[in-house]
Amino acid sequence: MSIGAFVYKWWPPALVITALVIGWQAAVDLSGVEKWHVPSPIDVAQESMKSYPQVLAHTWITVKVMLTGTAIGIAIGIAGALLLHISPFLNRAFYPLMILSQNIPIIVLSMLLIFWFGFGLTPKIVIIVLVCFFPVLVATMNGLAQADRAMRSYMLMTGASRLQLLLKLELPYSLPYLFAGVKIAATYSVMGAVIAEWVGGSQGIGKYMMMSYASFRMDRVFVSVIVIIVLSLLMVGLSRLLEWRFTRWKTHSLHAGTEGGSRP
Amino acid sequence: MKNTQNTGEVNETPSSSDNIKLQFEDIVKSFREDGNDTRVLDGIDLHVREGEFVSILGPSGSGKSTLFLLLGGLYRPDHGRIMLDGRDIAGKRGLVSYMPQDSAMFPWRTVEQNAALPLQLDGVPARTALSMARSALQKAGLEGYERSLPHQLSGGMQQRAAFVRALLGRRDVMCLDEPFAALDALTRQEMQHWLLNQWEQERRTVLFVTHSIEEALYLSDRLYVLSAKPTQVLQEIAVPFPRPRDRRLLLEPQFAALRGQLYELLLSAKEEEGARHD
Repeated sequence: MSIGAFVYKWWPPALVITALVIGWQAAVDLSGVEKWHVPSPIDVAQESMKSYPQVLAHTWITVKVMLTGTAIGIAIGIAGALLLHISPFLNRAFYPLMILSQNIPIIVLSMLLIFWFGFGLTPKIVIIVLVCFFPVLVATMNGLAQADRAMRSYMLMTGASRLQLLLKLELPYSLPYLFAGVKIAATYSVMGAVIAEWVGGSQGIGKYMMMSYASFRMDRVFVSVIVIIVLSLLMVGLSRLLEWRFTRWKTHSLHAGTEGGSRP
Repeated sequence: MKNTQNTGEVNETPSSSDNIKLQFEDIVKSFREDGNDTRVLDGIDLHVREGEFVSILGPSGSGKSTLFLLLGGLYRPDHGRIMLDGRDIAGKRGLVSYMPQDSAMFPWRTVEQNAALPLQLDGVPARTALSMARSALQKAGLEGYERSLPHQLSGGMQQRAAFVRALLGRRDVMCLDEPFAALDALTRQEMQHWLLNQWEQERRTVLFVTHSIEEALYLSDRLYVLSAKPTQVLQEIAVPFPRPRDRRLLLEPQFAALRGQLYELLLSAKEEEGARHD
């Protein structure tokens, strides 16, 4: 993206955010509300300068749990999609269960898992896996079923086996869909991690937020919120990077139009 | 319409001494549509000899593609046999190589990877398959495009690549399903000529589906004219022009006469269908 295009894309949201922050600062200053009650942006900035070593330590723990859980969740989502795609019976048997699993409130699930697995990493990773696998599974299944009909009959006429059809056509064809799911999973995973840490963590940014809240340190709560937003953005950025790496042919085709050969 | 001698109508029936490669025997196929059985193919008999270029010419919607799907084993005929080298191959896949109507190039594969695909499906190691694909692409005039992605090629060049892919399928019979239907008129002529050259070098057995009379006459040794649905063979015609052929053929009076005759035949088939719909 050129600098001009970058500026064009981002100046409206930047303007809105700047206006909001200024408005917030002005409202706190003019109303004379207490700092412990509603901290101003400047208070939050000062607090983050002061406590960042502590915040970074908590954040790092959350990041590790989040990346592990997301990776496992994505892997299970893809594997599950392949299984349900190949076997109509498994599809019929398990799909309703998958949807059901998404309707259990995550807070309840967190409490149960912590009751069973204790306060270690396991329950948190399980929570993140549970929130991450579903969007990947649904998107990938959708992609696998979309494979182009002409390419499909070419493969079948040419005598491709079921496995060849899956690996050489359906799976590559589903990648753009799969990554749409991964992007959703990436944002969910931050939420999942924070909720799991609220319910039963001894460390992590979610725990830090809860401790700050319990001790009426609203400035620290806001610092945690900023960290969580940054984490979400980083996760989305990471999944976009992966998407670009694996579906480059797709973006190429979109931009190339009808020009002739690119090579001399 | 009367057939004169030089239109080359064929009345013989195939005998086993004719080295027949592929034969459809009384093929019937119906599909269920809105709860009714619609008969698409109504007793198709046709054959292709070894090394022969045979076209199937029919109005659109005459079940030409269904014929290929049966040959490719994607469907089974309700009745009749499909014989390849004397063996009934109904329902068996992967015995013929296939070039579809739209090139069906895989967009994430480079041109050479696309061409190498049928070899890889046969279990040829990727490296060998790719080097075979490269040399075949060079022979087909696609040198310099081996590593391009399909969308970087023009429509005509994509079809060339699809033809190379079908050639590399290494099956005795090649099925080309209206391969030039989506091209503009000029590119289409250019591609017909190119295909003729390629085929005259390779002399593979070809079954070619088209709805263009000129294309069928220009390319084939023999052609079958199909009716509208339920489809039957209206006429079998041996194309009397010697090979190698070139575009001057299109200007010859005999070519024009044959084209006129086929045009009438197809038109009457279409009118008959129109009358049935009213």
